[in-house]
Amino acid sequence: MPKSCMSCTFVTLVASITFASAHAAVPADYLHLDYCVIGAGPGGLQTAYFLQQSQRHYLVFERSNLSGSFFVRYPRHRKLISINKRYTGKQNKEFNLRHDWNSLISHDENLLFKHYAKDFFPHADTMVHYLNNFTNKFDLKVRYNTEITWIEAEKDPRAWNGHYFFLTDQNDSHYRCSVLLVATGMWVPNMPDFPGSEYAEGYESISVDPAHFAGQAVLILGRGNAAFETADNILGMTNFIHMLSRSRVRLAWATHYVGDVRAVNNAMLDTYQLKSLDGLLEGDLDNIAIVQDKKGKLHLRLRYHFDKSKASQDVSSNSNNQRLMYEEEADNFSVRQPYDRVIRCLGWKFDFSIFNNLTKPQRGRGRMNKYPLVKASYESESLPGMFIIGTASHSIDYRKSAGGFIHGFRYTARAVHHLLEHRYHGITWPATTLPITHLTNMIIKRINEASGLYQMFSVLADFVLLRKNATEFEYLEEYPIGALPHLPENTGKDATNGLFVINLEYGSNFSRPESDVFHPSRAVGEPGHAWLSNFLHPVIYFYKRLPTETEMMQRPKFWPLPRPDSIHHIVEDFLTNWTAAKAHILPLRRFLENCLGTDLRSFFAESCFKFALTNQYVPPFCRHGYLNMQGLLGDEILWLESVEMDHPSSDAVSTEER
Amino acid sequence: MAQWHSYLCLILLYAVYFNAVDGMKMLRTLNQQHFINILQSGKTSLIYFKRTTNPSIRLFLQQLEKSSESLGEYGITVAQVNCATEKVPKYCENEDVLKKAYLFRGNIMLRSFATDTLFDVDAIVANVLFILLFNEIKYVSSLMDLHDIENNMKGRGDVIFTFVRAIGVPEHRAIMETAFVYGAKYQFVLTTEQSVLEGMDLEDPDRLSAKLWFCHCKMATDRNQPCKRSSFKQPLTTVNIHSYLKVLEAPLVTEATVPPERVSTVHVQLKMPVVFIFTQRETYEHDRITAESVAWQLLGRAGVVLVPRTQLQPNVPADVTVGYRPAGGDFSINYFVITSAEEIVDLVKGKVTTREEDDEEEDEDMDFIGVQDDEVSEAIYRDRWRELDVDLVQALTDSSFPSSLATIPHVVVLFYTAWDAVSMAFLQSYMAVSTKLADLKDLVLTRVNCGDWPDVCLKENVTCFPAVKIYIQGENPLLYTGMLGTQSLLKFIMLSRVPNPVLLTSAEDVEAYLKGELHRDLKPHWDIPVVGLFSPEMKKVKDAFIEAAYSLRGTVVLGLYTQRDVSYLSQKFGAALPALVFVRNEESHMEGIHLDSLSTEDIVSAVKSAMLEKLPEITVENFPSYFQPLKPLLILFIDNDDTKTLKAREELAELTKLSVQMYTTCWIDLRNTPVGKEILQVYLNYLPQLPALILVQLSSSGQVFAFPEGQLIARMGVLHWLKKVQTGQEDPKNLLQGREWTPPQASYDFLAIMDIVRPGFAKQRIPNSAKQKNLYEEEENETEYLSESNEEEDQNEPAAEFEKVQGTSTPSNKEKKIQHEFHNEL
Repeated sequence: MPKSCMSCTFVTLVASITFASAHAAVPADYLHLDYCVIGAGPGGLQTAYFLQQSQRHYLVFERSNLSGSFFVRYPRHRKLISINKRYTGKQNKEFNLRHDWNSLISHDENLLFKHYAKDFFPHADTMVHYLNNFTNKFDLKVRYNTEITWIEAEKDPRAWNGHYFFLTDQNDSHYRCSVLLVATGMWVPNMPDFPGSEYAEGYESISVDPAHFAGQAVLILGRGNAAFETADNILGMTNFIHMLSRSRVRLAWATHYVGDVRAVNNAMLDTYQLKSLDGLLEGDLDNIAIVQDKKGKLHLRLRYHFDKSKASQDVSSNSNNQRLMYEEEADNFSVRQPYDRVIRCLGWKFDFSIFNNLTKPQRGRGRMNKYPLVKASYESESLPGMFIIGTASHSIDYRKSAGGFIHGFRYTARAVHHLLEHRYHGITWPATTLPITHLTNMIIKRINEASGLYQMFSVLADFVLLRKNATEFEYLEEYPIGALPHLPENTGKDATNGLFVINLEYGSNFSRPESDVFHPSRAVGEPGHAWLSNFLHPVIYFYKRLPTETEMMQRPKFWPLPRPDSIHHIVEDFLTNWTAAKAHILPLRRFLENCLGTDLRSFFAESCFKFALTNQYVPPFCRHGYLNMQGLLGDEILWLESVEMDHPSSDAVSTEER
Repeated sequence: MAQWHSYLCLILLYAVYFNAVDGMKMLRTLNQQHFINILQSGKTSLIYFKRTTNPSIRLFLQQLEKSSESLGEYGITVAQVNCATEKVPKYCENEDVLKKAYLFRGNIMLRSFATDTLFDVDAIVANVLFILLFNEIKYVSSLMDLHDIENNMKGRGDVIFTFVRAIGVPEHRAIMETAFVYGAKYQFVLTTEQSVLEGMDLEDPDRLSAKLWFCHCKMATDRNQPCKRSSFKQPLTTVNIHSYLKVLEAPLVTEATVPPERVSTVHVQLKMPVVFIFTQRETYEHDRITAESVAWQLLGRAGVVLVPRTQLQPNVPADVTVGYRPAGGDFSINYFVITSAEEIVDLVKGKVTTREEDDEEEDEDMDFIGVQDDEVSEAIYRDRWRELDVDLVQALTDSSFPSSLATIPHVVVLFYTAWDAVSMAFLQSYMAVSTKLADLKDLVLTRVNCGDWPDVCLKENVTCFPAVKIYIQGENPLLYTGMLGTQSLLKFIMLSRVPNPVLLTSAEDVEAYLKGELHRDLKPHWDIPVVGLFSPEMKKVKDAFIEAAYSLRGTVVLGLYTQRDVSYLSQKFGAALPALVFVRNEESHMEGIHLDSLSTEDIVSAVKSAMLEKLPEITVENFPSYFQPLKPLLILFIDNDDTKTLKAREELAELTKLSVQMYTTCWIDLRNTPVGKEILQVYLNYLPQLPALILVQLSSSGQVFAFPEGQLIARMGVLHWLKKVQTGQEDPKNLLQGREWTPPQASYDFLAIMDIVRPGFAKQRIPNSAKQKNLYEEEENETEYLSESNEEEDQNEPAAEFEKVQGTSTPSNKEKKIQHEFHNEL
């Protein structure tokens, strides 16, 4: 796809000129850094926070003079659509992060976004304020006004990865980095090339004053949140708005993907369906042409006709265009009315131009073309030591999970950080080791509060590694699920004794653009039918051994993981509270017991005493607890019960009389 | 040459050794004198007179040899006489002698058996016993004969009627062995004639190889009324028949006065199915009749227990009429609303018969998956209606937690989660402790719900629940590692408040301390007083002692004495410095030991072992401190303080002084430890007269030995008995089954369900070699494709796209397409 972005071309041009001189050899004077982070947006800052916490030698490069500069301009109409849920009725801070879409992760509670804004959909300025505050509070090392224009790599056996990254900024200063963390975001506007594309104005520069659209007919290209946001803004002033995009509208509440059109933006859908002159159309932008008539009005036509007429008549293009406007087969062609303005709201692309041939990440395929391709560990496919973080890393879970948004990539940044700590500093992935009898509890605790699992469902998962003949386990939080086969080398943990993966999933058959997500039997309540659950619910996979890369590739269709030796679904819950003793905990315990071939029940000390005196073996609960002198005497409970046995309570009597 | 000799010697030694070992099994060879001795002894013997050996005789001799042990148990001697060397008159002269074996009782020859009827051990035992029990077992050849016998027994006793296809088969032996034991109790009747079965209403008598009926004649008082017959369904083995008879001897219907979970009958012990019929005063008569009718129909298959409704747990629905516990001894009971006896019988029969049918069994298992079998969760669930006033204990938050620690000298914190049953069970004990300590001004009991404040718990390094910590100002927090119970926690809290060690300043103080006269307020929590004696120069070991005292905070308070006159005390207690002095319990005197090792760990373990009694009373709470998995347990069970019991305890105390510590010797008082009764029941299958002395070898064999019941428990007798156990001369009373703790129930097998309901859904994809590389993205594209409208078709007809603006897409078509897609994949 040819690029027509003026500013990009310019940047590339500047970069190449600068490089004509410096390209020959490794620059002589440079600043060395262990970690270079490009971009001081939410992704870069989140990474910087973790690097700072672990006292790593790092620097963040920011071309603007403040953090989060994207939010100075975008969204154009200044309303963030990431929810700022300040009340959940719960005190659990980890749980509350499940419903906080704006905060970055930190140890400072004052840096929760809810302290910055009261609106449910906050103003974008608040985000700028927040991000700069975040930078300052933690004294993150950001070098502002430094635009990285060229990135290359040089082999060097002393380097951590066998090569160093060399960065050049707009002032021709050089930086040498052991590890490169690219958090440049998605900021290059997507401008497809079609006949007449020059007549379209861009979202990045369109007026936000509705008065400028009074009495106009407007065509909006694109059907994402930016397009709907723009339409919403001018809806009351236009004659009509038509929206054109390649695919049918994808509504977030139908797809469970927060990047799809959110209900907060969809007033256009109402006016279209209520026949109030506005309308939605489907068509590939490669197949259209925009033609301007003498009065300056813009006509939308099929490229097919455009090309045909162009071929047949090679006279003045102007008269040709005039003819084209009337050359339609059907005289009820939907878009026969001309427009006053065409607005392009087609999203953004990753800036590939700052990389040289060696460092340039591969592009994603198909729809993922706008993203750089990364491995499940967020590392570049081709070049070790280069990681893509922040919203640009969304190719992993595009249209699936939240990796393209603050409330998602704040967790992937943490996962990448753990990975770096292990790989370069020998610090293994943080883990808790406990006796096997605590496994059920641990899982229940995590599925009820963990925010990373919840936000990054099916991308980050918890891992339970069995130890000591399955009498103990090690619990790892929020490891990238796609990198399962490489868990040992990425975490420094041994996974040879079998493992559980704890994941959250939507039902595989539920979320689709046009599916009826309100159908009467949408919710499942029976634990025995849990696998048919539609809403987000915990799924636990058991593998006797670590799956291989091939098994991962050949995993069942629509599954995040290969077929396990055993699987358990915990039935969906209306309140997302999975603590019911019989519906949630008991079936989970049975699953774990059957995977491990043991008995995970808890017993009072008296039962353990009896087992210990009459049996060579005692259940694990008694072994870890009672025989370690930590048995559950339950004296008060059992005492109350015995009292009751002697004097049946009043309601027992009434039962009798029934 | 010399070497060769030594090999030979070795081989010979082995041979002798094996002969000695196999001595029991070797067929005895008698000389003439022996033979005469046996005949004159009056015992029963089976003798074979051997003249030559050929293969078939050698085979017979092998079988005879094998049977000698079994018959030995019935007091029958099995032997051979070698006629080649011993010319026993009459027998060795007989030409037929090779083909026969002879059964003697004293010098009377009862019967000779052709060797080919004694084809194996079963046949030998069966034939011999059959002859010996000639008077006890009646042989019948027609149904009339059986009726006559039954009539004769009516009102007097029950009849066991058996059929075997041939004499000498294993079933025949089982019946004979049973008759040997029960012959006096029941009238045994045997037949081999199939014609007798003709009138017995059997499905396929031709295929029957053996069968047993129990004819209930004792209860038939009317001569015209036939004896009820119950047929025995299981394979005829001695053990099966034995347990069947045991069940029949039990009352038809048991009336319980305890909750169904606690009912213990023969059926429960044999892990047979049990039906509980719930009754109340108004319907008792009717329920009793129903129960008896059910019990008759299920005789030998399931037990029936009549339980008063008042004994039901509050969580059991009020309308249930019947409880059913399937075979296998599982704890869970299922409840049903069934009124007729037929339905109840069907319930049990259905369960019993479908056990063999796989597919139905699966459904059955499903029912149990949702039944709570965790006793702690169950207790909490049952009690959920009883609102715990948890507010009596202050709940801390992320802000009040640090502020409480800063302002209150002693803060006890319980970390828990509300959904963890163990936490909630312990919370009740915790609240009881809180109430007891409410008067203390400088101490408060608090709680942190880790479900609300995971950050607080994480900071305090609490990763599993429940956990209790004590925060004493100016000291490191102390983690409680004792029993989750009221008394233990109370003791821990009280003791942890005392500075440890206590510095004693005079020799008088030391003695007062040991007598418990100092710190009287703590007396109830004091296990034993321990004092460390050090001379002022022993700085290093003194420091180790102080460190040990610190690590034992909450467990025991140590006294420390380092004055100049310490050597006086050292001499008085007979322990060289550095020394520990302690009083094990109130009755015993002060003891002193010399501290050999000077490390903190060794001092801690010395204190801990000083705290252990020589002959402790074992309770649920203290058992773990005495339990050593590899040591056999020697337990005295008592339930009162009569002289016999006290004497037994004294004798045992003396014994612990004498013998090396091979056993964990202890006593259990059933008044303090009621579960001891259940344990005894497991050990012996019955409740013996108390005091009873039991030896259990859990780790090795699971063998249980009981000191002879009638015998007085005295040290010499016990020693003698233990010796016999050691040398294998004592027979174990029981063998405990080593139960492995496997999953108590199946779980939902979602993979299997998926494979059935949605084939292919959970299947790994098979790589198409060409596409293999792109599999990963392929999915992405397919997802896209599936989730979006018919894009590709549209591209061929661009105009159609605009038309579609007005058209409605049909979701049903799309659904079909997806399905189609799906099926294609398969």
